[in-house]
Amino acid sequence: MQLAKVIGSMVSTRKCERLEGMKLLVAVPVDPETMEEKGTPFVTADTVGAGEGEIVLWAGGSSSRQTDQTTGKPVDSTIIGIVDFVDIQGKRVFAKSEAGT
Amino acid sequence: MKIGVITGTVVSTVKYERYRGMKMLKARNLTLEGEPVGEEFVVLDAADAGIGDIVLLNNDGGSAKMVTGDDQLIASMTVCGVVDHYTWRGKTVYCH
Amino acid sequence: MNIGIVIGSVVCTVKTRTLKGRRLLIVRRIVNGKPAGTVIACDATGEAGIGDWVYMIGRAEAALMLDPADPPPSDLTIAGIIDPETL
Repeated sequence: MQLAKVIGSMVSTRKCERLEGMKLLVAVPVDPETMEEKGTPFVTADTVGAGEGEIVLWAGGSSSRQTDQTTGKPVDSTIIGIVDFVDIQGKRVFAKSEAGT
Repeated sequence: MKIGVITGTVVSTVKYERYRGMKMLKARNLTLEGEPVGEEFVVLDAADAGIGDIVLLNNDGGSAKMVTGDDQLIASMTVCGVVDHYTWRGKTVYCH
Repeated sequence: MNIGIVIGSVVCTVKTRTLKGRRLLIVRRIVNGKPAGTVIACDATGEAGIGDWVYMIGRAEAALMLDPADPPPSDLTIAGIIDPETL
């Protein structure tokens, strides 16, 4: 799993049938130690009702299809949690309540 | 998943037998700003995409099996949607 | 399987049903004795903590190790803790 920040959303009408009804978000990877954005933005399926600006936990590969909403769906990354806290070496480096999102 | 642009078609007579009857295209990845990046690659199409379309690319062999409905298929990258529009950092980009 | 050191944790209140009650730990991967990036792994041992050297299983097996009957969407799972005296 990795952390990412949701920065947008995507709409596609003409798509393969099994993706119908899937909410797609645009996210950018976040370094869990520094909480800074790093790397290339990507498109991911959302199963937890995440919104723009939130820090989320996502899984890739076949594991991304191991949720009730993505079983049998052709996705390769899925948001599986909305992050409240990140602690590194006992120090709080992120708290959702203080992030102003 | 990543977004990409369809840059061409691939026609092949001699191919892995499970690719028979499947449309193959050439694509490149796109940044959210719409700039093509990286090398061109070959994809299997499951969304009836055409040249110039901005598409949703799935890079997972398990998803390729689902997209094509062939659980024995060996493939990596598939086109699983044609993008209408996407929004990022408050900007909306219309793709066609 | 890959080796790493647990350096932190992630807390999510809203998460996938099958991840409820499971700990998510931040692990610094160690490859050839050198740090090689930071990953997040689900803890199957229930005991891993900060400073522990752990080994992690990836891909499909990460989900199956946690619960083969109802696999959670984990793509990296801590399978065990290396005994510190053997390091």
